[in-house]
Amino acid sequence: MGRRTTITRVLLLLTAAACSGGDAVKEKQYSEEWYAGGVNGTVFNATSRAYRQPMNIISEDPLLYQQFMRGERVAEKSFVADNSMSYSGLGPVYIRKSCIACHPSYGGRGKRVDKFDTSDSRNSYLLMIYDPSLPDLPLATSHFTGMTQTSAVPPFKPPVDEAGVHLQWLPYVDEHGNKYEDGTAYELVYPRVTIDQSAILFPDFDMSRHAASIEATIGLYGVALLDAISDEDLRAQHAAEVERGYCVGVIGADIDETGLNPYYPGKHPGRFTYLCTRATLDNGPGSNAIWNITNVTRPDRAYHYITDAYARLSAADPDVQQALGQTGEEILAYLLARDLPPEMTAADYEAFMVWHRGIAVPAARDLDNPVVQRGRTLFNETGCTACHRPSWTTRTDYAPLPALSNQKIFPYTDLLRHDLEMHEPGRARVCRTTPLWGRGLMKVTSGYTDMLHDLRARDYPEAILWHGGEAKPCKEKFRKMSREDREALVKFLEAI
Amino acid sequence: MKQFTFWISCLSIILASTACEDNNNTNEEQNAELYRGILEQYVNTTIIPTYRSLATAALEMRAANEKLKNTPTNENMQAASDAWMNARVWWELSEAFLFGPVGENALDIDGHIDSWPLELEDIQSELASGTGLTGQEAWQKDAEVIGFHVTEYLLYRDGQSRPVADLSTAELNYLTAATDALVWDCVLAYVAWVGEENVTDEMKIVFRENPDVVAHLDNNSYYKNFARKLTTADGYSSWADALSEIAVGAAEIAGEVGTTKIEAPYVAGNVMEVESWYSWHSIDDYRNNIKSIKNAYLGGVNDNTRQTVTLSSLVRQIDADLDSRVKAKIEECLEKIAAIGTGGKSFYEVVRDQVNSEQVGAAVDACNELQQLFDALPEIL
Repeated sequence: MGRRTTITRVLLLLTAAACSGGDAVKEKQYSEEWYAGGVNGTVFNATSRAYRQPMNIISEDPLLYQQFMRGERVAEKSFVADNSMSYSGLGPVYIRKSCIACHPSYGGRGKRVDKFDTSDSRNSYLLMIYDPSLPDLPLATSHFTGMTQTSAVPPFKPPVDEAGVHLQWLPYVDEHGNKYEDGTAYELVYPRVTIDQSAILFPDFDMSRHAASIEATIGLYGVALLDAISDEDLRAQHAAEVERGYCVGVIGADIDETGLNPYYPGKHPGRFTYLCTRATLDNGPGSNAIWNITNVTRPDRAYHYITDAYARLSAADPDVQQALGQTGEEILAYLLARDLPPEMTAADYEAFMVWHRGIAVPAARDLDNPVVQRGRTLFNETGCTACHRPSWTTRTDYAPLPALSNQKIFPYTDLLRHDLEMHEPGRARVCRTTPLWGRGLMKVTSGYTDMLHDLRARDYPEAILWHGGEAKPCKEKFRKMSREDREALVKFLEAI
Repeated sequence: MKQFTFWISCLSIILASTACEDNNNTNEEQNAELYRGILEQYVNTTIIPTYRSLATAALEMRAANEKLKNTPTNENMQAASDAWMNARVWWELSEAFLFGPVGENALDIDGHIDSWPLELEDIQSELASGTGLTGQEAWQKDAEVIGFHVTEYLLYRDGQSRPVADLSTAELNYLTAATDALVWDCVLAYVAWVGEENVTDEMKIVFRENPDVVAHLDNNSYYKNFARKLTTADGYSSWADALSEIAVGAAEIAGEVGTTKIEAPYVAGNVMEVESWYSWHSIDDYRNNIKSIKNAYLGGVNDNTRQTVTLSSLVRQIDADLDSRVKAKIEECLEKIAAIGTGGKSFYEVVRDQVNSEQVGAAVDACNELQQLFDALPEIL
């Protein structure tokens, strides 16, 4: 992890300068668009480590840098159950052992895998069990945690046995027979998840009346910049979409963060996660995940991420009672306690949050390439920007990291949810517009380019071709483009 | 890192200045040849020999452990411990280039063989079962119960090779199974980098011992023969970005050694954060990480195998003094890290007893300065 110095804001124009007979080096200013994460939130790094760099404002501050490095350590270490070790506190029931388990390369996403094996570092899927008969597809929280736990520290037993989770990739043929207008063929696949009844720990839970789906993790870099967009601007974007009458996004419901976010108590619209269920970063997906993915307690989360149903079943389990040498009442009291000793210190948590906020967005690349510029024109003409809003300016007073105030950023998202009417989308049917910044580096950071909420798209063209519903006209325009134009559009996406 | 790209660009101008009639493409082709040459030296004289040596050392470790299991004497115990140490050295010498096949979104070899802390309860429970664990089963286990630090745990205590009489049969069985898993991961790193078609028959046989390992590489085929990808900048936006891997990797491990591996445990007084906790080998680990940087920068794997077309030679053409300073800072890091152990102390003891604070501070500063040199070369230019 590199300590970074101030970015020099010039681009050397090589041959033109060298051949002009004048100065050996001609300089030009980078336009603001190169700074995808704003001047203070961007690093120029296009290597395999592009998603894990600290912002310069972190590197240049010794204390923040020390916290960033500590936080990085906390995020990449696997927690263990053994109390004699550091990074202890895993369990009693959990989803993964570390952040990096689902966020390879820190900001990278997982790989489309064929087996739901949480020990596979490339498998970043979370498993969701929900009721498909109700319109809002509610999670089966009577028995399972929202993100389903599939691992446990013995003698506890996992609520779902991973061996009974089956992941299939099925072919999909669209209404055009999977062909571009010019006759070029493409292939599409989508996932289907099934869970054996025998894999369910709860005897009273009927899996046949429920459904399961998978959601891959979202990139981490730049999340503080999204956090720094004001509620007013987010609401204004929603109002503008309502006003225009097409591609009207769904804004996240207001969430009361009083007592949960030290910087911004009160109500805020959801903007994080696929379903916009988290409103601010300090009570956001990462802040919660470091606790609920691992079940490592900390001063402000002195209790387990656990359901009553699981606690009662485990407490009554003779195997558990015998192994622990405790009564059912004692085990139940432990599992449901609200005052457990912290397993992570407040200092480590704060360091983790500095890391979380401080991961920079990689700068755009090749924006002066004519093909990329042609791609940008096509991106605009095709209507992609209706939801993939190119830029925002952050609020004037972002308290958690003031240097991220007043930054013009280029995330290419409206932070609102849209229904793409994908075939068998699972629970994330109406899904937040994915930020596109930096995704062009996936090949070099990860070796693959799997995209969309369940990674069903294996590259940019497939991701576009899965756009139906509100975005169907855009998909159709793309499908009718010449090969040259399709490639130019993809080059633009790779550049931003 | 953009600075690095600028600095590469500066060299491009120098190279291009004699050929003004050429167009952009010609200049890019010239740069490509230069960058390709440096990357080829980096891959062929540093990365591949390091992984080949690591794989060989792991196989020697396996042989030593088998001998120990069959004839448990203190002499064989010491030989097995020495073999572990030799393999460990080659692993630490690879840490300036922990990308490509070894990364967590690739084959996850780093996470699989160098995990710390350990899940001791699971290890004890496995030992209590008498352990008929096979190598193939061990390779499928979570990283917290296999790898370098588990084999270290079985071979060492408090900085010393354990008396052989202390080892149970179950421990010896666990050691050989975990070592098999380690061997396959080390061989996998080598095979993935160089391509199975380019390894010896002996290495190919070891690679194919475990079908799960073969399937793992097949399922991540992007990382087959990664040497070819890097030396052709395949997947990178530009040749400069591919070349930047050398400096970024060097900067990253320099920072990690200084801030994360040395400063953090010392400041916190937390011995559990000290690397190589059972063999007390940390100071050598950290020095070997710096040597890994030296190898990446100067080519080769030691002072007898240095190369002429390297990142260092590129820097020297532009600013000989800067190149000298980078080289001097590498040597300074090596010396100052060694000085942490003043008084014959291991780093474990230094952290536990909170001694040698001046030397610790000096080593941390040197590592951070080395990191900054790699980060900010263009500005210094």
